[in-house]
Amino acid sequence: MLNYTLKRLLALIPVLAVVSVVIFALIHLTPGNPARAILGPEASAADVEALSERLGLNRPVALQYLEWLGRAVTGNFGDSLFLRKSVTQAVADNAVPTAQLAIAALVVAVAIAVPLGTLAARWRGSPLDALAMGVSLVGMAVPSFVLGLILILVLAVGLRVLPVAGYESVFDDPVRGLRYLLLPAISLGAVLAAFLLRTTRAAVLDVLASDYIQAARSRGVTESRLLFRHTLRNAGLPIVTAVGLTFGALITGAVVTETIFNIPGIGSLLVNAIKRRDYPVLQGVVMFATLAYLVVNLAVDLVYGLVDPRIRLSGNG
Amino acid sequence: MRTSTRRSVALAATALTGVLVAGCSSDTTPDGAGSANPAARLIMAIPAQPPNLDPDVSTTTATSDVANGILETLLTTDEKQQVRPMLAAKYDVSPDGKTYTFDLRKGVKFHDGTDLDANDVVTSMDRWSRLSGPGQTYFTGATWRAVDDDTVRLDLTTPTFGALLALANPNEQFPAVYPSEIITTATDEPITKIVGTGPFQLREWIPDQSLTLDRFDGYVPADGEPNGRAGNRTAGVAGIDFKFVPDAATRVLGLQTGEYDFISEVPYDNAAQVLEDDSLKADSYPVTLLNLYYNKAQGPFADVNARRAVDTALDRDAIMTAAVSDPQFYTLTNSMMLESQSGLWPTAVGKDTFNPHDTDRARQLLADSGYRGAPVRIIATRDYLESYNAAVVIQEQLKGIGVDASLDTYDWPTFTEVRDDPTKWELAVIPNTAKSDPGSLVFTRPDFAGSTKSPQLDAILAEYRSSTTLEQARSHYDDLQRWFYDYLPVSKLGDADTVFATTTNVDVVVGPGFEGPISWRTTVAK
Repeated sequence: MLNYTLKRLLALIPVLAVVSVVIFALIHLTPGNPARAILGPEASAADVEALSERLGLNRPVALQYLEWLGRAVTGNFGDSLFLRKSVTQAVADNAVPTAQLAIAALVVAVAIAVPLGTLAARWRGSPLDALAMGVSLVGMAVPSFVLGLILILVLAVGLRVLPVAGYESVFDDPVRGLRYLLLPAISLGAVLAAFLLRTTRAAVLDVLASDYIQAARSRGVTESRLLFRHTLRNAGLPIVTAVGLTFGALITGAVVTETIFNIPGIGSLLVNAIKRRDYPVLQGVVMFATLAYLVVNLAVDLVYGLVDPRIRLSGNG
Repeated sequence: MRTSTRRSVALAATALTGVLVAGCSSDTTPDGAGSANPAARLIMAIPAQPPNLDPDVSTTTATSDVANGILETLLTTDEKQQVRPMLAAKYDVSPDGKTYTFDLRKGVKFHDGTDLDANDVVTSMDRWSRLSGPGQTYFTGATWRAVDDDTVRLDLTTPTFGALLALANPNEQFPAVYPSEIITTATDEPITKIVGTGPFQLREWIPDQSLTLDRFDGYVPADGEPNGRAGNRTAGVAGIDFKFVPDAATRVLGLQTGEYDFISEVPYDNAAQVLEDDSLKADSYPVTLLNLYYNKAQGPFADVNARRAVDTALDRDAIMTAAVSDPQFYTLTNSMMLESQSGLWPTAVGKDTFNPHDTDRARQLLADSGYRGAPVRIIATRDYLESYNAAVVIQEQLKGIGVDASLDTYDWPTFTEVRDDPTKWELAVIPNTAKSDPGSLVFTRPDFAGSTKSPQLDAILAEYRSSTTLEQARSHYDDLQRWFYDYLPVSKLGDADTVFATTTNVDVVVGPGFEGPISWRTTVAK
């Protein structure tokens, strides 16, 4: 297991290297110039040129990349051109709101999807199943920003029970923090729930049709024990995979949700960096997102072993 | 289309009185929104944070809008746009117009507790003269020096009326006075330690989230009642909490639910939603010169006849209605500047020839120009919807006279790069910020998009800039207008307003011209 983990960790390096080259090239080949953003739209061409020179943007891209790489391997990703802090600091600061949103959304999604999906599979074809599938279909069809705006209109503007948008860390002020977090978590979580619900239902159906469940049933195992102890545990693999992939997507920033609810997370950081052509931040955020995605995938693979003893991975795995 | 310079969009009078019940027992002067509560803070949602707060370097409105509550200038303007002293107690101009003497107000303190002296002004003005556009235009070769602790002397190489105008400018690249300690350690990059003498001091700036200003308790006001930006500038609120809220719908909904007291840049489409809500009010002020730029470096519009053909074809009412959604948010004027600046810069030149909207004549002019159906790329940006919306209508109108027009849209950072490359476009719809000085209009610059190059313009600008009085400058403004209609560097489409909205307990004073809300004169009844 340890060997396998180490091997997998080492395999991350070439992926990160390739991503860093591609992203660096893309960023620098895209038109737009941070010097123009700093000086404003009507600054003279000479001033923009002079600032570009001072920022080192006129040097060959390959040289700029090597310099960046040289610093990056020591953990220094440079400083933001606009935020008056280092890229590492910016990513760390913005990762906190995103992580809070991701966890809250995932809790919402799992709380809706796993019980509903399991019950829908157990009573397949029943009105409950039809309802669950209907809900899932609507959830998949409605983009999270539409749901978000509807929730804002009903709960924030209409009933005035929750704030429209904003952010407060739940660590600083748990009550205020949760009030701000609730609407974005529901709007993002509900959409994810639709996807998870289908995965759960399909996985549970698969397991329910298997011989060992039939055998267990014939031995007189109670239905609830059968469903939650035998079936759900065995249906766990695809569900964990789906949750993992979802979480990977969430921590790299729910761009639209963060924008609507004005959450200063990774998604907002990325969007603002693109708008301003804040090259160091852009590069840093994409590297962080890549790493986060890879680590979550690795974690999911490792969790497989915990969920399903049959594929508990050996050193040779 | 509207003709007045500025008016309230529609205030629900009944709603206004309703809010007065709020029970404020403050003893300050009552105003339109009830009793102003000087202990209240103003929560203001704006779309994006300024790139920095240094007006010497940044040419963006976002910078000056926030910074002009923190940093002050030697001179300022009143509500009639007349030059008035601010950090100067008084100023004198020598008979030859080349020497200005500023007597500084005594006892003025910076936010860091140090006293303002002549050395602060001299170092600040030296940096501003060197780095800013207006500084380079009017103060190159000028010398600033401290006569004594409270007196500053400015010597110009040639007399110009523009010196006073630039020193009193409250908008982009205003001549801010910093403590000399900050200036002497500053580079040409934006200053990050923003310390001034203004009614507000910067408490905290959390990047991309919020910026907090507090009333400066040690503020030493100028004499006289508030008048435009002149007179007593003591802050009407205890502080301003700027929240950066990029999503326009979120800004509007946040205003409706009381999360924010004031939102800027309400999208034109959302203005109706604000007006339907009795607990809100909206107002607008003109600030954008929407211009159609011609690529004069190459392609069909290097020929003035082709430019004239397009200018003749345009139906500006249709274009501006599409651009800003509602006729109340635009004004058509023959002036290169805003209609709302006509008090300072009156001109009748071009009144007869502006907006001819004559497609038959346009077709004839196009034929005379030698245009033979070459593709014409119009570029625009969706990040400023007025640019894109106008471009869509222009494209159709030009097709109507036989121009093979296509539309290319870009995000703003790409747009600013593409427009500098004459091989990539023929026509560009660019929203320009108004300027207090016609000589600073960007389309007169050869290095700006469209490559204006005209010896005639250079001669007029030289004459204009060496005008010693405003009257002289105004006569040259008429010359500039004549050149504008003769050369057609751009086609002026119209003046577009910026819309802002507040809850009804907020009282806002909007400055003249295109200045927008004056931060220290905003009050909240809570």
